[in-house]
Amino acid sequence: MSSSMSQSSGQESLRPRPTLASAVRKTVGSIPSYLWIFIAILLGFTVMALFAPLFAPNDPATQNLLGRMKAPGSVIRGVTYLLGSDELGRDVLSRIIYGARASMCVAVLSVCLSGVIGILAGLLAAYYRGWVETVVMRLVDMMLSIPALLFAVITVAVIGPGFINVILVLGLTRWTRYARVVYGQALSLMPQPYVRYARFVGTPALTIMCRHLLPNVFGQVVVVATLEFGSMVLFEAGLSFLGLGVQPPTPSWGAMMNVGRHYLDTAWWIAGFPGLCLFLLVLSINIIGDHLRDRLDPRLR
Amino acid sequence: MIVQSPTVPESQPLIEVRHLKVHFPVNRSLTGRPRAWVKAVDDISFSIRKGETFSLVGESGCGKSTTGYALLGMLKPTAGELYFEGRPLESDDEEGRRVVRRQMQIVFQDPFASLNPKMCIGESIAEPLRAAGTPQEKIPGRVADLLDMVGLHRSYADRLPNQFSGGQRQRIVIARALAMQPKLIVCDEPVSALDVSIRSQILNLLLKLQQELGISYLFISHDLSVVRHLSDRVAVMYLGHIVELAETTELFDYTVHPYTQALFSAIPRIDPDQKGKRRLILQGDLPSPLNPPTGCPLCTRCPHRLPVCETALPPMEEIRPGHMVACFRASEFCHPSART
Repeated sequence: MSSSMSQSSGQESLRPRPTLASAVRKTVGSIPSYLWIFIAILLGFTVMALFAPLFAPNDPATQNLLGRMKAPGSVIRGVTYLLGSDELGRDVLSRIIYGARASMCVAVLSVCLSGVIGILAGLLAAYYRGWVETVVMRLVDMMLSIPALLFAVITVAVIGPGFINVILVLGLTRWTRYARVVYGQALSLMPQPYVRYARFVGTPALTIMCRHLLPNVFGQVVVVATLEFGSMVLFEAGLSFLGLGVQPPTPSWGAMMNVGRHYLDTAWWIAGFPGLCLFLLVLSINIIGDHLRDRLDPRLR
Repeated sequence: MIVQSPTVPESQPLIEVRHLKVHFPVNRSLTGRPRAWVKAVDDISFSIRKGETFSLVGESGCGKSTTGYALLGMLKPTAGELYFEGRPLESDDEEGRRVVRRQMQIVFQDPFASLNPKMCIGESIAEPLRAAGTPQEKIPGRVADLLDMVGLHRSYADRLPNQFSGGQRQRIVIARALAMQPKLIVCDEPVSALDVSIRSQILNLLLKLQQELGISYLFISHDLSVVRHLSDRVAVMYLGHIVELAETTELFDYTVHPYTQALFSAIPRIDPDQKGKRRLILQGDLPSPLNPPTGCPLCTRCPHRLPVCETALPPMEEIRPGHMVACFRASEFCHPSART
């Protein structure tokens, strides 16, 4: 038994370690060109929401009763209304830019909240099985059997509308998708030898969940989160449209569309432009999400 | 190959397994009561000496891996007693049991699934150390030493598993198993997922470590040439039972049990002198472990069966020194004329 042979052969050539720069270059290089358009749209809306005061030509709350419902491009008393003005003479463009804040903010925070709840629920159910699994997954089934928007509307109607409440309601109703995805993936990881080994040597449950299960389901979670982000933007708009979301005077796309629908035949731009923005934002997010899913899902590769 | 540990009295084996049974419930009724049991391991006894390699061989599903997992406490035995250096493994308190269990480790078959793909290998190797409460400042040095021991460069600790080949990964898994300075490593088919060219390297590494550290191995395999090369003693399992147990050379030279004969005659031979030699080929399929035969487990397929084989389970009997066989006709087959 030549032990010297085993010594040297372990040092056989190692596959090269990809540097960060080359990894980034490879990832960026493999993005199809059409996707850049949607990435640009998403980034544009994000920047717009973050730096709304820099982009908005006018104050979104300043009314101008003489300049009500002016068509896009009108100039009233030296103020240019690029996308027209609404029923109170406020600048539609500025309101859309500020409205992006509400949409994105609600979407990001509720995605985070529902993600945390869903991941936790899924991991616990898959790790402990037994009654934990039964309780969590039947709860998921129950939540899924109730239409999410209906549930959100009822809850908001009870606890009252408002920014925080919308985030709470969306977060607490939409965690089920994460829970299901995480549960399914984690369940398939549990019998893997590296998880069995961790349990065998007595690694604490929380450590196993955070270091063995979560990193290996995170790709799937990111995909769900991206697709959920689009739904959240729509839900926020829907709730605001029904008057249950962000309250006036804070501008929100959904609320703008709600008001604008009264004037669709005379001033289409009041509802039309927020609607177009909503459409573009959700479309971009969903296409990016689909792309991510195709990339990260090993079964589809 | 046989390592004599000088300090150990022969009387005390490292591991003693007495009447181990592992039954799995299947086909539960609505109320959760099992309707049937798979007797994966059914009443087996053996012991492993210090510094020895003890092999369990048999075809898939005969219960060899289940035995290993039960020994490590990864499965709960249905019945039987397990002793580690004379101390019972089951009855100890939780903490005491964990301390004893730390002296037993496992190397799995699949080196690709044995390491978390998202965790650098240094962290994987450190996992048993952390679980045992090793102080953080001692971990990097110990991990580097372990990498040295298995022939990998110390600087590889921060690499991810996907940068390593199968053989290198199995070295990492062995390093992880060595971290707690175990007295026993259960090797569950450690080389069957590897290329043939890498196998001998890993086997030699295991032998080298045994010589240096005096570890005992419970070697689970269906690869008879590997078993012959590596083991001190071999137990042959069939349908959850041990049918024959002996020192390696004894077993390969004086094969007694019909199942062992059949198993060994499946080894490809290139020796032209043996060409005409009769081979024992069993008829029929492995019976379902859900519905095993009453009596001798082999009675449905055995060419030498007697009426008694179908009603009674043959006891383990020592027919030559250290050579145990569970067969009613063992004494006939042991006769030199009946040797294969």
